[in-house]
Amino acid sequence: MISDEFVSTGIEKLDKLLEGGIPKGFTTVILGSPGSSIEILSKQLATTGNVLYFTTEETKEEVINTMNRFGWNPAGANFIDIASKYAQSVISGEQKRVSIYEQRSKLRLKELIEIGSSGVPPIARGEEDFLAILSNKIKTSTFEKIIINSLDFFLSQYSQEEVLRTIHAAKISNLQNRGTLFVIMTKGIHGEVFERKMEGIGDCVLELEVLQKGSNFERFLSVKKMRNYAKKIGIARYTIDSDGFVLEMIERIM
Amino acid sequence: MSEPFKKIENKENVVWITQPNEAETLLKRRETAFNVARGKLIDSGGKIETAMQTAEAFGRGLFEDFIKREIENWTMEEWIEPVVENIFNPLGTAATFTSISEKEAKSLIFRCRLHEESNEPHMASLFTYGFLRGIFLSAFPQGELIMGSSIAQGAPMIEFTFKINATEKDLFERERVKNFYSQNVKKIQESII
Repeated sequence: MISDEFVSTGIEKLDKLLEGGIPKGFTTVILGSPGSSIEILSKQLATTGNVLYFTTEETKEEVINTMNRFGWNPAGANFIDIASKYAQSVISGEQKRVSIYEQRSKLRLKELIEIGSSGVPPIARGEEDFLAILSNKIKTSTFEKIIINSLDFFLSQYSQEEVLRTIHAAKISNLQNRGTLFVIMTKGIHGEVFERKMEGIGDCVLELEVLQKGSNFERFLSVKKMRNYAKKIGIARYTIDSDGFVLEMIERIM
Repeated sequence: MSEPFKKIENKENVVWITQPNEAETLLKRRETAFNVARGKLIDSGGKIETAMQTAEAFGRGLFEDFIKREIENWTMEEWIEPVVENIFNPLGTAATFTSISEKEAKSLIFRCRLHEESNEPHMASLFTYGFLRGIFLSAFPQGELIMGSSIAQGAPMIEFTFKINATEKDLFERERVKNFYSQNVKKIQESII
């Protein structure tokens, strides 16, 4: 039973590990490496509650297909499909380029020089400001749960400083809105300093790890940080079955 | 320019040669990021865009940690010196800069440890393009990185042109590189698996 002060993660045993779920107003940073099935966790988080889901690597359809495959109901999730918007901006940039070339082939030299002198046309880089979309949507959100999957996209397009500033603002908005914000990012790309900064921003930090033991791989989910709830820090081994994440062997560290 | 380059001059030409001085921490960091990019490529079912974004994000992180200074408008010289000193040399990258001007720089990378060690030339070339692009665009958002020949195409070296102001055609270089490797995605996946 989840109390009014907490939001369920959508994974019963994770809620148990967290002793009731994620406190409202919390920002949760989830770090994981490829092979940890972090992308499955992000979708399973969206199976309960009223959810705003930012998808940057997969299209909305791909996310829904995976959710359906696991038998999860995607009805409660509202998607901001940044992956499709980004792909569309690249395609439209290419189309504009072709049309500019077609147009130029019909122009005279003087006209060509005039166009050329205007500098670089705002085409390929004319895509939307995805960080602003993220910021605005979170600011006005009334959703119980917001999932950003993943921060990696923004970090490939913007400076770390800009991304940190946006996530910090998102954290404040989330706190005011009493929702729960989940920020998912891949471990091992962005540098330890940035990872530490993100862990600093997070009220709760979860980490998914894959360890090779002989010829087997073991996966662990650890609760590295839980602000004001030190005793919730713990680690659990997990597997993935047809229902999604299955946590086993929960161990308390504090 | 002297250190971290070695300047070689004759009557007609000047070239600058990097001075590789490998640093394990940075090599390890790149290896980890490269493995993450490979892993994400597999997890995404072969999406080159995902691998490219991972490499670019890695490059932006390197810029933040090793290059960034309080400079509003970077010049090529301000950018290139710390990049060679803090990125190229510690990664053991042997390169010759055949020209460095205000607007652009040209380099030929003739030894890249990633290509030697990974045994995955297509993935290594894609990753190298992506992370150098991330480092370059962090300072020059209006610029573009142009890839000429690459080791993955059978050339003995990777040819890069760093342009501070991208032309219309240059703006589509990333897509061109991505499309090239998309056509080779099967080769990449085969070499990984």
